[in-house]
Amino acid sequence: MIRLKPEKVSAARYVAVMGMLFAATAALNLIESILSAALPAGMRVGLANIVIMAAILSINLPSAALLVILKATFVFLTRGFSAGLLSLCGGALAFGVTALLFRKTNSTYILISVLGSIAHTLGQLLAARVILGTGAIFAYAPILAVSSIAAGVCTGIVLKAVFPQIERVLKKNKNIT
Amino acid sequence: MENKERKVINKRDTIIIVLIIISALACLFIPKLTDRGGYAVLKCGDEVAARLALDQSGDYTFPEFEGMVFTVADGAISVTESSCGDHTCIRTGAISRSGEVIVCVPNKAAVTIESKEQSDLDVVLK
Repeated sequence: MIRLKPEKVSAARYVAVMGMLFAATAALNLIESILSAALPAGMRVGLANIVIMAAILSINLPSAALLVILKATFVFLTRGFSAGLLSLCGGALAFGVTALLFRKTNSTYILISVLGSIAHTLGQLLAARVILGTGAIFAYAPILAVSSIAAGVCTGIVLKAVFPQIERVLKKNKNIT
Repeated sequence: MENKERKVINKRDTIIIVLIIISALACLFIPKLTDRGGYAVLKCGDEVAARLALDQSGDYTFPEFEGMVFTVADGAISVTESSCGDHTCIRTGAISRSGEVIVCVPNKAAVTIESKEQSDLDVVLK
């Protein structure tokens, strides 16, 4: 049995924070639609990675994984099957890479989010490769890598500013449980 | 590692990121230097649906790609109409050099460019 909720956090607080984070992924998804309009083949830069990485840092890995799945479900419901699959593959690979780097290395926030963003793009390309049945889509890799790096630098800075706040909301007032 | 010790950025990681940017930009601009291609290859999944000579201007439709119109003009090919929702394929614009692609994920369509020499022709539509 995987435990989603950290033991020191009350159930109500956990549900509230997770709901807030999921709402943030949905909102970021909308902003991303505007920012990613110039990118080819329906690719996304992966702004929601901020939320996933914040969950890895301030809650735990299973909760972050749950957010990846919730985000993909949300995309599936709002933008259809192929977009949902792209979101799931991109999110899962980004989650794996960032979780590994945060746990095992002393890399800086910006490097981790840049590599996470590249992994997000790579996951989407692999999913698109499966849907399309041709590797032609990989011709987009360089332009996507450049936009991923730009997005990764932004998400890294935002992450550093935001995740201690989430941690604070999650941990404070332990007596009101 | 403790997150309190983690920095936002340092010298080593800046160098790594700059190296990634340089290699990505190199991959991006090398195809621009290649010759203009001779044929557009239209693929539906793994199957080659058609090869279009880029010196034959005109609008083309194919039963494999329902609702899509491919336009060849000035030695370049573009998708001008599509039944897909997001119209990413249309926004990609016209392509003419090998290494460039137009992709429409919902319609499983991919257009690539082949140079005159390398195309071992199966079908040429004129």
